[in-house]
Amino acid sequence: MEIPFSRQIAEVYSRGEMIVEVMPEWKQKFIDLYRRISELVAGKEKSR
Amino acid sequence: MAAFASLAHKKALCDADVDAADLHLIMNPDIKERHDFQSGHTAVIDPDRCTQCGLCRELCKWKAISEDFQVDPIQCEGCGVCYYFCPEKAIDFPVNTCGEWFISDTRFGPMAHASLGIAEENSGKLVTLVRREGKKLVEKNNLSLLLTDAPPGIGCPVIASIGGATAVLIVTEPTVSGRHDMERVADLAAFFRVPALVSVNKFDLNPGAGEEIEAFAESKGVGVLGRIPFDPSFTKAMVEGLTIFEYNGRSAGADAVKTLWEKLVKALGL
Repeated sequence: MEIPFSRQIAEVYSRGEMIVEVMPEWKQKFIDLYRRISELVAGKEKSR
Repeated sequence: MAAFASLAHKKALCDADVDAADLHLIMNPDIKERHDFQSGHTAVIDPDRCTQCGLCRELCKWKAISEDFQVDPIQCEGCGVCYYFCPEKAIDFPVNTCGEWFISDTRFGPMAHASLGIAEENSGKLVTLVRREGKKLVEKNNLSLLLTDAPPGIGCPVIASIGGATAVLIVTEPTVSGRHDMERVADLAAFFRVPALVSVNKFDLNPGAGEEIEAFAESKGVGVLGRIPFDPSFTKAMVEGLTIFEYNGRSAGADAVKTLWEKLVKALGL
């Protein structure tokens, strides 16, 4: 996943808000990222 | 910090953020001296002398000694209780080398800096060492100022960075976490009786939060020095390994930093 240099994201963060809530296009990206990390971790556990 | 380094006269530089040193990325130092940083100890059991009596495993509060009498160097806190009590004198207790420190030349003057190993401790001690070396550079080269890049937060390395300083410039951002950390650093500086000044970086990202930080600072006797705008030139300059003045001296960010430095010189009588 790539997060761009974005003034809008910086503004959301400055207010203590989460981009997954304020900028809905990010919600699915983070869900996908979480899923991929889970798969990587699960794969590692198996290979032990 | 890099931008100030290019504006200040007769100064030495010091990167006190030893856990995540980064000033060298822009200063491109020519390393003249390189030294090991040694601090703390780790226990090592010599299997030839060890009779596996188990006393060390009983005494170790950190559960750092395995059933087959090997010390886990990550669990070992270096307290030395096993070394002291071992009836067979089978435990050695060597000093750790946790990092390196350097004396360098840069295009803006001499610089003291360091690099702490991964997961190593005692960063406060290394900060104190690097600042002491920075002061020596000032004296040896007949300079008048030590500009120190301090780490973020309020922990040991920050305490070590600001104790005895002429002044602390707190650079914060108009964010929830920026305000939180700024309040804590302001308290820390007050505790050590080091005069503090504040500048809000990227002010226009959230002017309301920026003004609140400035009002809070004034109520605590922390001088409000000036604002820096959100200017992508800073990021582009960093990517190029340049100061903002070398990258684009006519940018809004460069103007703001120059004004900030002039105010700082005036406020501190530099």
